[in-house]
Amino acid sequence: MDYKPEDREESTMAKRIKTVNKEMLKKTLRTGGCGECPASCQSACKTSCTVGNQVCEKA
Amino acid sequence: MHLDDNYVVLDVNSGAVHIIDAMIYDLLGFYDGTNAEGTKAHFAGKYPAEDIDEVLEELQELQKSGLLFSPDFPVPDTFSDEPVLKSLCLHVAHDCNLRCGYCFADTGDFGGHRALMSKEVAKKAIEFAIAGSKQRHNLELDLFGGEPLMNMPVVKFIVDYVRQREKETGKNIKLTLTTNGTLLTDEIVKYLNDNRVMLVLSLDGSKKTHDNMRPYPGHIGSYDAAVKGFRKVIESRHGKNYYLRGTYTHYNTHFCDDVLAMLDVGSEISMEPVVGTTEPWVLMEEDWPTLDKEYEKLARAYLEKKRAGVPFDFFHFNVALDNGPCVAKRLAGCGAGHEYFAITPEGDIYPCHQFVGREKYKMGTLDTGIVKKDMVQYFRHMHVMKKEDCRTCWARFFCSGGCHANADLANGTIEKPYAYGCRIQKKRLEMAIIVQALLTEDMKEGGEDRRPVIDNFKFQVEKK
Repeated sequence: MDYKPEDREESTMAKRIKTVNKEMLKKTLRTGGCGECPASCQSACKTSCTVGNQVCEKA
Repeated sequence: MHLDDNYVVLDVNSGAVHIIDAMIYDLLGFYDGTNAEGTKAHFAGKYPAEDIDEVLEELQELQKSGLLFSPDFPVPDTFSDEPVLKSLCLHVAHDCNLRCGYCFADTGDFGGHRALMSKEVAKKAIEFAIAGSKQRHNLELDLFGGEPLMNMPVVKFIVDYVRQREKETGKNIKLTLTTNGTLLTDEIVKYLNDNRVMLVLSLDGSKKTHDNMRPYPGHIGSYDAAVKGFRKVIESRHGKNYYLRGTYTHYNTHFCDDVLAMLDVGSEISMEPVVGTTEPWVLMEEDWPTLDKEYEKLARAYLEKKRAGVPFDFFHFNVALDNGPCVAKRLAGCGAGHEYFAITPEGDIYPCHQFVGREKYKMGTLDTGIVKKDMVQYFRHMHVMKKEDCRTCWARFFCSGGCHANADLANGTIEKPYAYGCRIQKKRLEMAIIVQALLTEDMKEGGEDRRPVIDNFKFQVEKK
């Protein structure tokens, strides 16, 4: 079977580590900031969205 | 972080998540991205040298790709000085037909007198929100209390007026209503469904747990009446567009049992720790070992059910590993006091619903507007990079600094987060990241995609 160069690279990498995502927060310094996502109430009296439970509205 | 034999590492500054094994987990307790030789020496004899070399090579590749040991990056103080209003919490009723033991609203009246919001105040609040949201397309309004269904005429006025103004402004105005469920008649259920109102349904777990803390006056439990209402509304909207939302206390630290009991009523569940100071139901230090184990128990149950295709959504396990919010958002904190405010029945403005009644935080009225502009900037700038306890915390881009109201209650200032809340939040986040990593990996390995759909609590309209 012929390997493409990118296949060869992947096959030598990450045998034991599985990268689940490739989130890059730093790049959102440039791309983010539109403000359309909801507020992230943290409190314990209604379901607090928390910023960790949101997605980007533009995704 | 780990759960049983599942080991995961989060690279804080990039947001990358990796599934590793026990040996790599062990090495990462020592290896910091710069000390490869020291790591080899430290673990020599414990693991084969070639295994250590192999692992270090993989870790170094990830580091070169910016996915591990990524450095702190400079962030601006805020992304713009002028906040844009995103949401308002309308206290439609400072009154309630229940007498919940932990109620931060002093069973409905927030320490003041019982009152219902008038249509005039409601209209002013809606206009305040529309004006404050400027060019923002989305706007969220929460109908809250006390028990908002005690003021149904104004709830209907608000909903009708909002839907009219939506058409006139072109904005998308999302409505949410929090209710104890005991007043959900067929007519009210139909009205809320027809008008796309998301629902937060207050249920604490089993009948015993719920009735213990959520009785009517006279100490009669409200579970039966609440659940009757909840089942009715959940079925009427085909199992969508709601959350069952519980509170656990010192009296039910084995809260996982209560979460699983809630599955008898609905599958969209949220469960949070109670807020308090010295009351008998407040979580104590001695409760922590149990709570720690309960979050693990919940994560196991969640994974088991998800993998079996059993409907179960636990809100705070819904962490998006991709497409999460941008840095600007992660630094904006909860939004209280600058993007989000609470409005009392009298039209007073507070940073959020929990601050209502704390007079020094009253920011103005709907007639005067916000007069404490300095307070707006104070809340806006009090984010994770400004707080000593948060700046180096691994959870800082997920928790956005915790609850300001809890911090103020525990520490007398919003500058220092409530430590117990942080501990709980971090454990919960660890479990969330682990379960989402495992579900993602299941999918990548050819299995079904059992990851939750995360949509910022949008009302899903059924296609006909």
